Amino acid sequence: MLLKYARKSALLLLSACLISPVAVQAKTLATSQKYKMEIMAEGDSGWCSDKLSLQAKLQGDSPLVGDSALLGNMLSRMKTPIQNDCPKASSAVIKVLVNGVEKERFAGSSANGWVFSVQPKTSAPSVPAPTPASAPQPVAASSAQQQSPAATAVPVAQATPQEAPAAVDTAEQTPTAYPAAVVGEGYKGILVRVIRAKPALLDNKGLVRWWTAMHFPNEYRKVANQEFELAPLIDSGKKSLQQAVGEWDPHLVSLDYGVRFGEYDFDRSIFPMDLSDEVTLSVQRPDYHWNRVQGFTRVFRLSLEGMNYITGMPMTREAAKQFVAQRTNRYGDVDRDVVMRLFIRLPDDAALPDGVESYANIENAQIEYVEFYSGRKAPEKVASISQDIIAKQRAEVLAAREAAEKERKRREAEEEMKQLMARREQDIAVLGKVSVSARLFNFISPSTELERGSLTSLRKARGYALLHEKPVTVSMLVQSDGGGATDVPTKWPGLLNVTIPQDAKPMESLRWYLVYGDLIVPQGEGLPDAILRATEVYECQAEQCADASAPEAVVDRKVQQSMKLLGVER
Amino acid sequence: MKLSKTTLAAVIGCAVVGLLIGGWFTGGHFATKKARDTVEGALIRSGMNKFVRYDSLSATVLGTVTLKNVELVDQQGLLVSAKNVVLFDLDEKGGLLKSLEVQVEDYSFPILDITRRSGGYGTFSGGSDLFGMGYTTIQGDLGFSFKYDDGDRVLKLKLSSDTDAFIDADCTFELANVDRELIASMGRLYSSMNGANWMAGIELAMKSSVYLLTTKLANYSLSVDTEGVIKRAKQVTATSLPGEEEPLKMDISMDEMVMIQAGMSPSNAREMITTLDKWGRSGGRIVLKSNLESPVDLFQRGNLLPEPAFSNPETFLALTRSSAEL
Repeated sequence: MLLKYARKSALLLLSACLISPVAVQAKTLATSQKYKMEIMAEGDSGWCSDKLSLQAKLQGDSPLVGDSALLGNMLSRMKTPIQNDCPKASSAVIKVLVNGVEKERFAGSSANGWVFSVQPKTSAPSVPAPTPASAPQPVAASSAQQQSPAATAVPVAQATPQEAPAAVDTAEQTPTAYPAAVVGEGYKGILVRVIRAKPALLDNKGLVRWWTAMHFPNEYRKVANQEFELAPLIDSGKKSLQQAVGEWDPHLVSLDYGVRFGEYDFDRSIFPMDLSDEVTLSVQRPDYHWNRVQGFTRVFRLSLEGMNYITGMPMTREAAKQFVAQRTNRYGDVDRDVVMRLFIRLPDDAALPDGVESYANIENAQIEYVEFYSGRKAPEKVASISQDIIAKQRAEVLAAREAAEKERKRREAEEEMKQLMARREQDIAVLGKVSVSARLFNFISPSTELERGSLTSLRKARGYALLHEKPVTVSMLVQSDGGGATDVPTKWPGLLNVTIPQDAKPMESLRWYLVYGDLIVPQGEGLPDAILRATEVYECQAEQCADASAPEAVVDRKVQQSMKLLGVER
Repeated sequence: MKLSKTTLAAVIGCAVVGLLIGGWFTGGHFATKKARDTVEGALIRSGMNKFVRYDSLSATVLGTVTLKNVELVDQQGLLVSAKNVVLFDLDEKGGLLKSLEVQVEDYSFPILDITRRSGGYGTFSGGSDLFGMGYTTIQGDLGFSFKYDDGDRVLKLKLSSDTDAFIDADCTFELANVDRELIASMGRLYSSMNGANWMAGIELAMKSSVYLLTTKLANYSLSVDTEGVIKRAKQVTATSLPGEEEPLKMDISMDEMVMIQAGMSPSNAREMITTLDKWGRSGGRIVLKSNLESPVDLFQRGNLLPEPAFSNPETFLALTRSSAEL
């Protein structure tokens, strides 16, 4: 009795500090004024079941917003309220809503001590069980039936939404049959793909031990602290890992992503969705609290291009009507949350991380194929978007983007042109006051703006290059002492050979040129000829480039360079 | 057996030559041993053994000491190297150096490497112009001569530099009324300053400095030839446009009025200015020399230590009645 009293007192104290259990309302399990959070159960009086569905409602200015680690820590304090109010619960999923908008989901179970963590669906089963790595292609669907779709990958960064792509009627498209090979799911799928690219990871003891624990959890827990019993189990785990590396699809992985669909679009035959162009999915390694290991990647951050190729969930009108009817409760509310399974093509081996960093980024992942599942209560495939449709959509989006970019450049060029013309007289006046050397310097400089500076003397350039042991960028007036494009000797200033770009007109003997590029001085005693590799060259029309020293010529050249840079013909 | 006079003379002659040769080498051996002890001892006592290295040392009975492949280094690397450093005519007794000549043959001064080691300086100024003209290492020969007559109390110093395609220079200084104590204290001062006894060194310097006040300049001559560097400067232009070349202008600006106020005649002052300016612009060889009838003071009393008697170059040229010749 005393013990029971002491336990309740401790709970009350903890609750006062962090989360206050509220027993007055049936659906509210805890509130925290400090953290501006309220945790409620979904459903009415029958909310208490083996698998709990909870909601954590956060105000926008809650200190927990954006801090998944702290949030997970706070949610893990729900152990006591859950055990007190619903002792029969064995697992729970907490949907985190910030100002009513779902941001992420946490899952926890009695088996792991009610520790809640963000976990992608495929890699964070409520009750850890071996992933069926040997299932054929429908593995995605079958595993969706086995596992709660609530544990989805978490979008951690979203790019500014781009212009909406053109609508595509996807309802009539038949999904393309996808490769027969097993497609790895979530964290494990990515990990196996990375191991395929970096086979040395197969010797990573921490990784092999983790894989073993995930595949043989019951056996592993029994012998985790008995090294002689554990060794053969780890050998089996390694074989299982090698088998997965050898058999799973070498390019694709699947990730589940919770989305909300809008009202049916009768014209396009889709349930529209508003998805960002680019998202970063943070795929976290599922860890049992009793088996935390280190030495390989804990979180893969997947930069996913082209989410906006998915404009909605395609469905025929009849099917859509039936689908909505099934998801409408007695109050007329429609459950519009579904799970989108993304089949993602990861980049080439060289672009994949080493797999030993704690946080590893994977860029340029592309969506190839999409399936939609009804949700966690009745996970069945309800729609899909084929590879062809995604490709078509990508092409259309890219074409639209390219056209917009071209138009933007054109407008910029127009504006630039206006500005250049507006300041033309001013620039000419400025150039009229500077030396010939400064004008020629500006003429050959690739900059579109006037700059302070003058042509470089050979002595200074050689001295700088020698002293600093690196090429020095120079603008020089030279008179060729031979023809060609490579290592052309100079009559002036001499002791200098010039190489011009391949696409430039070859130099002619005894002509004057303005050149811009990098100058080096070869090692050696005395005075070896310096070498200038020009990136810009101008063939002068007059002695010592008098034609290029006129202020008007310099300004006109700048205008030309601006237009060239902008890709616009004058 | 009876030897003819001719044969006997030949035998005796050979024996004498043999003895001379043997004596030469035997003497050389002992001389080398003595010289090695002297040089090594001097380097160790002065602390310079950390910075001076050489491959071998040899000496002759006539007192010539030759060090081969000598290197002067600092903590970062090589400063100067020389193929041979020859010391001869060394006359030192009781700590008083009376005579010494040093010939540094085929020296090499890697100015680019030294500058790089020190982190470089001024991207487009100063030393980088020298490197730009190809002077990454200065090479040549150096000569130094020290002769002190403690009877007449006259000290003659000579320095000559002969470089490859750079600047050649020769200068001689004849100092009068040089106290032997000043010469004797130079060696002790050097040892003190390089050793740990700084305070003793400073005390010695203070004591010796009084002898500087009596020291006078009897004559000097200075010859500088910049033909090599001017030729090189013409090869590597310093201007960005043709027709603006000024190979290596040296700004030698001197005040004619200061010279006249110091005693030089106006015509001589103008001639001196013109000559120096012309040399500054076009380079070549210039010879400056004094035309003194009696020695002039080199130092005057200062606050703590003696100060130079010439506050600027113009005064020096005027007081030493110098003339310049191209």
